[in-house]
Amino acid sequence: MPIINYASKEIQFKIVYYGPALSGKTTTIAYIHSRLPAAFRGDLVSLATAADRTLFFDFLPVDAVILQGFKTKFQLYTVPGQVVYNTTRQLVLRSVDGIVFVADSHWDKIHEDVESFRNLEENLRKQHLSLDEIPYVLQYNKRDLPDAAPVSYLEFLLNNRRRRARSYEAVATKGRSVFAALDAVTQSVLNKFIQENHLLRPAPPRERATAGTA
Amino acid sequence: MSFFSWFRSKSDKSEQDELELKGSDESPEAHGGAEVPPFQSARVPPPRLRETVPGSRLKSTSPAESSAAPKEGFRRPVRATVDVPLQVLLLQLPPEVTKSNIDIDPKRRVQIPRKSLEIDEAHQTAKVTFATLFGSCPEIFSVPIAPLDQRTLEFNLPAWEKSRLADPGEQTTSPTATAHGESTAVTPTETREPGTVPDRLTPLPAGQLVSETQPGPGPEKPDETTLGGAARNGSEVPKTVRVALGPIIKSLPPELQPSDPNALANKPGAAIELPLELINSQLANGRVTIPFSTLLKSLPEDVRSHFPQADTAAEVAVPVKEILQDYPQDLLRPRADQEPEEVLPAISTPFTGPAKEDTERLAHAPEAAESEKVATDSHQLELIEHPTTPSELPQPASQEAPVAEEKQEAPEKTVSEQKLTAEPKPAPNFSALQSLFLTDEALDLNKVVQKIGELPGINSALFFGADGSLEGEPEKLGLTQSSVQLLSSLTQEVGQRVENLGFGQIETVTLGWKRELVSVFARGESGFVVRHEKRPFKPGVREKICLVLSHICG
Repeated sequence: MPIINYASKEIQFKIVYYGPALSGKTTTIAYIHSRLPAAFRGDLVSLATAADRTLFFDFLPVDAVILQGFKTKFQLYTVPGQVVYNTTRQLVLRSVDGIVFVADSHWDKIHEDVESFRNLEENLRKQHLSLDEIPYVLQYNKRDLPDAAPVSYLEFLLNNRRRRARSYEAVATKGRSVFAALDAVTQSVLNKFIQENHLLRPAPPRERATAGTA
Repeated sequence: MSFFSWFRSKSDKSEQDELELKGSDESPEAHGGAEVPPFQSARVPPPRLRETVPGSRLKSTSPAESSAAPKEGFRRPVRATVDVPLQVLLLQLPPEVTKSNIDIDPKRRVQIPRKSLEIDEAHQTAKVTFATLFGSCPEIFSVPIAPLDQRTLEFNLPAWEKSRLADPGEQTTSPTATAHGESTAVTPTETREPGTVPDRLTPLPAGQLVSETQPGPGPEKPDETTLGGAARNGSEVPKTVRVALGPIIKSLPPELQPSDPNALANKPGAAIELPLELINSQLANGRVTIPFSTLLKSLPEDVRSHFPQADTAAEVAVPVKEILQDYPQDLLRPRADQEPEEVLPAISTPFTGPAKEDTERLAHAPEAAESEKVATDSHQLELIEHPTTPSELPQPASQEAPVAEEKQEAPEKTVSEQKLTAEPKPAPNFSALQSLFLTDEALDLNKVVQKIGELPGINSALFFGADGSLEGEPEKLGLTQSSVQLLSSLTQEVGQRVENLGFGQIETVTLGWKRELVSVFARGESGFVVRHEKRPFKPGVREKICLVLSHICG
């Protein structure tokens, strides 16, 4: 459920990067942070303990989509992937609007991917939410590994719900498909919000300034 | 009253099972003794079947008529699965393995392969192992169940099965799935969770459904639903999967290793065959294990003698990668009943521009992408941002190359050619380490050493180069240049010997005395020495230092 701030005329959407430990969530969000113009994004804040890294990332987009006079603002979060930090994951998942599930393509990590996906469903269920109603995409990360599992098997494992999700072959270290996955989930979130609130769609995209490297 | 009778007769199968649930606690004796048949008269009276099942009207005619026209009467099929209401199973399942908060509709039916059931026709009950049930419906379990868990669960057969058992002359008929408004292949309202059995991945094609649902006598095919799409499509599916023995041996724990692991692992053509059923039930979990005893049984006699015979109950991992080499790919196909992602109107977001830029940039850097594939450590690939080459920089794209082109392989060179064309190693790009340390600060080697010394659980750090140079504060570690060199050569020696044992490249050597711990990370003749804060590495710290070192040393 997005947060609507009538005073500042902002709508905040929450996107959560979910996945097993060391699957590349932090790398993904760090890459996004590095590629967006510094003037229009917040700092990358790491709420890190000695063992895990929970990242909070808040920024104001360059060309914010205007919905009925409200600027949209996206908050990107990652969760700690370690199994023991499930309470933290549940907290981060609260009021989530969209999810990017970052799966590790390495053969040895496939089981952790499945476990993490089940954990995501379980945590959503505890909040009376479901992946059937929350926009999500799958980011199959580390596709440049020589020992990466085939996408067909990853799809078999993770993309087998009744509604197929969009999936992306990504390499977060190089930025491959990182923004594509984020863009897809963002569009789904915006479309869902527009549909649910019967809003007018924003004007067609205009030519924007290229977002340079920060 | 007549409307009520009509309504009851038109009730669906779930209602039948509700009745059955109510009656499940009642023993046959409770219905009045021996003269009352235990099932037929008490639970599913013939008129109900006559009304709900097409063709069954013929069954209610006189015995003479029914015997005169046996082929026209209703034939109850022997289906490959038995549909059991979830509520029936939950009542019988012990609480220690049952999930406490199940949000699943208790009327939902769980499809259990008939061949996995032990059916007691006399008492009209069936037994199923926990493992089979876990394969069919893992959502109800609070703990994972091992594939060969022998605990069983007994439950009353559904009404449909009871009626079939009660009518002995009708067991050889063919399936009539459409007669009941359902398909044996896919439960339409069910969303499959990851981890459920893959036998419902591919529903029957439309044509296949029609042909199979036509009434008429035919042989029993209990394997149709459990073997997946290939079997249903008529193609032959092997019953076993051939798995190379080498990778299994390499993943064995030391106590189960054979006497000569390298010789057996490298033996050409050495493989075992595992039952497809055993694989299917676990493949959706992303991990497959078998008991060590099963592995021993699968081995040829001459190979088996090399293995220890102790601890045969231990679970042994079978690499999924090796399984999929011989696995029928048809079984991995996506379900045909899945809804594709809804095509939504495009909205330009702040991320659309960078997404296009990245696509264009990477489409024009196939050589760079290929050259970076040499790194094999997954941790390296996760966090290291490789030095930016001119080809990686954003360029105006004239046309978008498909992703597949990224994997173009450069022509292979011989070792001598590679030596001739080898260029001096470029200086490390420390800016790429900014994302690793989550900082915007400009980095150099000194700052990197400082950052490593500030990692959790690390007291101080030092970098030693191949030329004998030191970066950092050796006195803080209590080391001199000669002692650092000694540590470096000691690590190299240890690494070489460990590598000879077949354990791969060693990354870290930790030396401890009293309450002091010093770890050495070496790559070639360069590396880091770090001093701990009186405790071993905290999670992720060792990996991070390895990443930094691999980046600096190439």
